Amino acid sequence: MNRYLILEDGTVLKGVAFGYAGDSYGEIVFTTSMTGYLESITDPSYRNQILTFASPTVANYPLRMGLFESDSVQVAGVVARDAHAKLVIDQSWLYFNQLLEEHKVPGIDLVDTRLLVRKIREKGVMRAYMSSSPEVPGEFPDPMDEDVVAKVSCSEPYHVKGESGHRVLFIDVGAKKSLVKELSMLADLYVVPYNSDFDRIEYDYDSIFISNGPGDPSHQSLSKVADFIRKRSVDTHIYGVCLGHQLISLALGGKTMKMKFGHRGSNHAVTDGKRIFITTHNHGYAVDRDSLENTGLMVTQWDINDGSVEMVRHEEKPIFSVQYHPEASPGPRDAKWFFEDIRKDLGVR
Amino acid sequence: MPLDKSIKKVLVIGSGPVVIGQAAEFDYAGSQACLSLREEGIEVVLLNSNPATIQTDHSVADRIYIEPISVEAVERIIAKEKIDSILPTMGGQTALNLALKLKREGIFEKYPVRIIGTPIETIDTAEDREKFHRLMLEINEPVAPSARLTVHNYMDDIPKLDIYPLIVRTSFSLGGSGGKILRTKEELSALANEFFRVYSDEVLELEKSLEGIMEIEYEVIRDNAGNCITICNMENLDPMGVHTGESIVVTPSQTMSDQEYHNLRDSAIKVISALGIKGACNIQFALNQETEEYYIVEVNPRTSRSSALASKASGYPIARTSSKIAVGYNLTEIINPITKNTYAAFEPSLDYITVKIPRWPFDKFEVERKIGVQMKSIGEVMGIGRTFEEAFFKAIASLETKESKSLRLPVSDEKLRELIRTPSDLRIYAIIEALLRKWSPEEVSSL
Repeated sequence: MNRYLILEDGTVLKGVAFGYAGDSYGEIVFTTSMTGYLESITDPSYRNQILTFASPTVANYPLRMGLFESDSVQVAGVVARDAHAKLVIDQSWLYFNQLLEEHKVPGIDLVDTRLLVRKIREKGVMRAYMSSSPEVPGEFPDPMDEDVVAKVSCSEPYHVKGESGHRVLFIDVGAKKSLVKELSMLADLYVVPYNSDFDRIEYDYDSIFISNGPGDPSHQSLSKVADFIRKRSVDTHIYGVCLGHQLISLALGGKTMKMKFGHRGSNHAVTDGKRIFITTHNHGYAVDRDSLENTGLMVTQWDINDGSVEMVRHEEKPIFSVQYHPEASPGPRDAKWFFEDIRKDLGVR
Repeated sequence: MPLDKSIKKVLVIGSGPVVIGQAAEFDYAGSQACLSLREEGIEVVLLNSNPATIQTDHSVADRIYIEPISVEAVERIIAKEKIDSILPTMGGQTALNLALKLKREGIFEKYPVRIIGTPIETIDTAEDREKFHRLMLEINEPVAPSARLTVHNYMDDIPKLDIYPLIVRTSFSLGGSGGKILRTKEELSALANEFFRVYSDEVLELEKSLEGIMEIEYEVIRDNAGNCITICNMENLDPMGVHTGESIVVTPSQTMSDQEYHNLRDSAIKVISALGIKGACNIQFALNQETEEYYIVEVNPRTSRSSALASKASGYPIARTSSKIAVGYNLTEIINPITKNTYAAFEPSLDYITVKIPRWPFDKFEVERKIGVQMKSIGEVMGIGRTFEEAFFKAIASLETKESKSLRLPVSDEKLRELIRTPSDLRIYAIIEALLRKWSPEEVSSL
């Protein structure tokens, strides 16, 4: 069966349908990761986005060899060049299709993804429909206008026991499982939804962590989180990753901006001027470097090629965060020192 | 770190003649290295015994010596040219061996000359099987389990050993290829009894055989500041037991999960950092996907045949970058000459697949077509495509042999089974033939 990818600029690409037999809508983005297809499609940061794999083969190894980064498939759709490597050994292809069907996520295979990636690089991220008809709809509303974090944040607080004696308030704005796992090795975690009443939390914590997540950090649904960070920044240790990093920067007076086509993939080199780390990125927004003046936040790491802000650290207070994903999964683990830094900052032995 | 200004005149050691077992890939690395050094205003002197290489072109090096690749020649050149630095990692095993010989013969004490790039001690450790194994154990990285039997301990030790199948070597055949594969305790006991009756002073070296499991390589670059990146990985279609030069190789790997990919990447970086490589190198792993165990097979502390392949497959200028590191630069300072606006500090992400197939000379020479641990191929072809199938068939078409044109093998089913079972240049055609005869993929794979 044919399925069409219809871009905001009028481009229509035809491919073969797989996964859920229905239509979809989202922001079209691409990742350059060559491994970890399951980790990518279950990453909550991809919410409301149609994910294109620049690497041609998808589902080329069995599903069971991958990890679920959340309980559901988060992407709005999957676009691939060659996702039809039908693995007969353990019916992997069948499982992959079933997974997409269960979570109502359509896929398109045999698409010229190289052309698509070029278009996105040239024109920036676009809005796109996945449809059974090639007709171009009249409207392309912004998928990021929605409160996307509501779809991925936990609905009830939960507790992850840790042994170190430290207690972290973990604000879930769309956390990946591996991030929760890494943090839980450092401290006791109390994971709370993004829309909690932060002043009435019945948990005695000594630091705050804000997770990764999807969407625009300046979306008004997140202003409560930012206000809370601002309030607690005077007396608490605060750390963040991805959306959490952006929220910390906003809370302390910085600004964020939407990037042309963002960074998504596992091969981005970040530097502190001396060392380099190859890291996993998934961000369509970035902290504006100039806006950090007089906020107390210093840019301590940046992308070696385009200079985007990748890490900030407060000059006096115990506050630091990274834009990329130190928990990797998928991707390289060069930045695992980030968790070591938190361990030291907390004073965990 | 910027350019090391004390490096003024570098001797680059070439790889010598193109023979079976060593293809012309080092010409590519050597020439890239020479040009990269000259770009920095460094004078380049080249030694190569092979006049028929592009390296000996005057546009590549400043001074060229076409002489035997020997200690005597190097000594003469050092004295005459007042060489201050030697780059031995661009001329394959030949140049590396010469560097080790120069060290043994005290050339570095006798003249004010040094090795640039990967230090000679590192080369020594990587090349010496025993030292290398010891280092791997120190840093807790797995190598194939091994044991050593003497006349005193073998009676007690053999019952305790459980590393079958294993390769046994006598102490006097070490390093050579005189290994034998044993599969049971009984076989080992019999061999040991017989051996120690005759040679009671000798030892038997045992090592678990990794034959039959998946072989993966990573191409790694490390700079003077200790930054380490992997350019790409390569998945061998043929398992351990077939030389990588004889194997069909796919880049990037197609059957490894993210966990596996990065477990090996982590290990590669750990090993290469512990060794202290400065520049490019290649590390080989044996990966057992069922037990999730891996072993480090070896490290080539130089640009190798695989570097040439990795460079072509990924578009990353490996030899060039690694020469810049040899003269003092770090990855954060080197601009990628292909993109011109990005740095050499990145890991290429491919939106295509490459397949390398060796080209054997069996259509010209009447020799045994079986392939194994020894190289018989004389060259290779590479196909690039958006899918594995496209890349694979482009490569096959480029082989230009009788079989690659017809894609059919007019043989009996019995013979076909045998051709699929035994590694040879015909195996890929045998597999295609079997699939065309509608044998199921499971059946073909079970052979």
